[in-house]
Amino acid sequence: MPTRVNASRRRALYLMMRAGVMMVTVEEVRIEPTAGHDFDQLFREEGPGVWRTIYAFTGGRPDVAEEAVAEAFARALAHADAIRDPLRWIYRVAFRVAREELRRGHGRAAEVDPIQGPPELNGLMEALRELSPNQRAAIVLRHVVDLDIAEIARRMGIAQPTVRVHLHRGRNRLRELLGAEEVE
Amino acid sequence: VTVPERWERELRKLAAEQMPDRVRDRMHEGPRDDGVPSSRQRIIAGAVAFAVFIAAGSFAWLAFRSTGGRVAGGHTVEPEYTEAVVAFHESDPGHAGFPYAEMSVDGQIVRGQFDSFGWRNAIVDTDIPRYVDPVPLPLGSRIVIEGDADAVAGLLADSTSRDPLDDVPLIDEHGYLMAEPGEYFLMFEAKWATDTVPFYFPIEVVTVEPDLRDSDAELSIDAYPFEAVLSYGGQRISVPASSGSWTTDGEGFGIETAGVGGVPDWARILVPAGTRLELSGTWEDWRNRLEPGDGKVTSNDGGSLVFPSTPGTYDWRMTASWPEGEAEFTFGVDLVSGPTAATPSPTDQAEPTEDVPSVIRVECRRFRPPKVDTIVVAAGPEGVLVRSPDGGNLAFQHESGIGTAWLMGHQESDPDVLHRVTMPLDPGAWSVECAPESEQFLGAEFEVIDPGGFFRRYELVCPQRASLDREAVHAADFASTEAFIRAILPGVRGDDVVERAGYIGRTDHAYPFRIVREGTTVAVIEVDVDRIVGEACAGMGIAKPLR
Repeated sequence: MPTRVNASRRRALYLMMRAGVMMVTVEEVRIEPTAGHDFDQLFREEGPGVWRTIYAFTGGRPDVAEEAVAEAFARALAHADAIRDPLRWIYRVAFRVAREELRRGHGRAAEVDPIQGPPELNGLMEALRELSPNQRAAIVLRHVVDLDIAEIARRMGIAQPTVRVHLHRGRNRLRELLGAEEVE
Repeated sequence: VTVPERWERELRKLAAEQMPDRVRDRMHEGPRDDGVPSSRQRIIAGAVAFAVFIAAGSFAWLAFRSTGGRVAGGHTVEPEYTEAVVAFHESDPGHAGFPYAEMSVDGQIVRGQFDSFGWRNAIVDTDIPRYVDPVPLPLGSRIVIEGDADAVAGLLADSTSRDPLDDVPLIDEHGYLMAEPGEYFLMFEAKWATDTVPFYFPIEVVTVEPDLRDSDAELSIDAYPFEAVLSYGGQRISVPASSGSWTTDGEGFGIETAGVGGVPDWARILVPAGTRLELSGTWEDWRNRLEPGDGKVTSNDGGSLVFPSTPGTYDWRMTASWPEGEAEFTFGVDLVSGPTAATPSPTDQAEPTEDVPSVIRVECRRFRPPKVDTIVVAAGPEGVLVRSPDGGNLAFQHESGIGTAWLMGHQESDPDVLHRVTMPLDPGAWSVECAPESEQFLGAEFEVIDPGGFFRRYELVCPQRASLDREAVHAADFASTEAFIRAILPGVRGDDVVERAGYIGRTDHAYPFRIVREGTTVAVIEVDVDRIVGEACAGMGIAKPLR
């Protein structure tokens, strides 16, 4: 057995085990049928934001972003009655589909794929590719879609402190890559 | 007024980007039904197609084909310590009939987390716990899959974002957990007939402190997939083949493993020099070499192997051959001076012998205790010669807790001079840690011995002690410190020995003075320019006041 590593944490684990405390508590599964979602309206109002987020998340691969966003909305339409919070659900499905697409078709090679899209975004996309996917997503949701930390956490499906970490690291990296000089 | 920085202005360009119209059309086409996620398809295909090209960073169990998923070879490595059993079940009556996963480690049962997934036309949408303590798993632990899932694929993910990690070595195809120590999520995708469900387990990969009293090391080498497992003293290192060739059904393959270059720190194993090695597996023949140099792990008359008796840091390349081809496996092996089968404990080793090295080499490593090349070092007249090739800052701590020595910031100085520093480390047990200090204490232990008699001890062993505190005239008025002491402490006899304690050649270190009477230290004192303080054994006449 390991020794001298995080002894206090292991001690706490041991005591909790002895006390019979469940170490992982998954909240009750919720399936709350919801009716009346207007997905066309949702697509019109929120679709562009989802698309920009996923476009940045993929590091400038519009083909992957298009497929992920369309697939997320398509799945939401197919399961409309079962979704409690459609927008949050769509974001999380879109992230997952995009991640799967990147792993499936691109993998590491994607990092050297030529950037697709408008030339004026090349510099930004090159910089975003230097960030982790979650850093990209957090940065775009905060600074492009203008969401607060709590909402970013909900849409990305991660904890608020984690969002802050992604934002902090992402901003620092972008400053390094793109510069921080101010304009008049 | 807050003025946007350039990166913010660049980002705002993104706000003008328009979503292509075809996304709406694609949405109305409905969700695609591609069944099994692509990553798993790739893994399964790779395993079935004979896994000659090993996909580093992932592993898969196919319908629990034999316990532990070993395909061929017949030899099974039985772990001596932690084994994490992860069970996947299709229906949990306690959770609305949805699938669930549990990991069992040393009697502790942890439920797998999940967030959103589709299950038989329902959407499961849950809130996952924000943070739970990770389950500690020693490096090299084996992950065993049980339950009723048709197939399970697994990999490691980032401890906060849950992003799969592509650029670190992960769990090998036999299910051994091989990764840089730290916190992760163990991420599984379990497939049943209808759907696939992702599960997450927070874990912490921790290092194992080897038991250097173990007699033998063990090496097992197998094909299908190509893997070698080297274990000693509770450590277990599993590596894939780094190179080789194979022929099956008349078709030749090259063996490559993504990401295998140099040997990472976590893939090194600590073994006392001269340790025996038991070899097993499906191979028919083997050859090996130690680098640097032309050394080999030699075979003795009994058929087993023996590591060289010279301590050092090596890359050990072992090539095993089968009728179909051969494969090379590379381990990091740190041979250290220390006990072997004939020498049961480190304490017993601390005898003055000519074989004890007179220098200790300390190498700092991330996430692991520093590496020392000997657990016993013989002191010289000025102390212990320490070599620190990477120039790291070192903190030495005596077992008593009262002695600490620092070796700081010498990486900016002349490496030829200062990478070999003689430290005033008193005889006894020490640990050395690389600064900066972390939350986790990661120290390496060693013992300093004094076979040459260079150290004058300054422990005061007597039934009763009396304090000394004398103000005096200026010490510089006396010919020597000894004369000063004798003048201030009239109870010191003429035949008492008054001398500086500590290493005899260490005049620059503030060791105390000691007074020895008939072979016994009867007083230990600190001398300042106008004051003497310390302790003396009661009844010796030394502590009595100056008349």
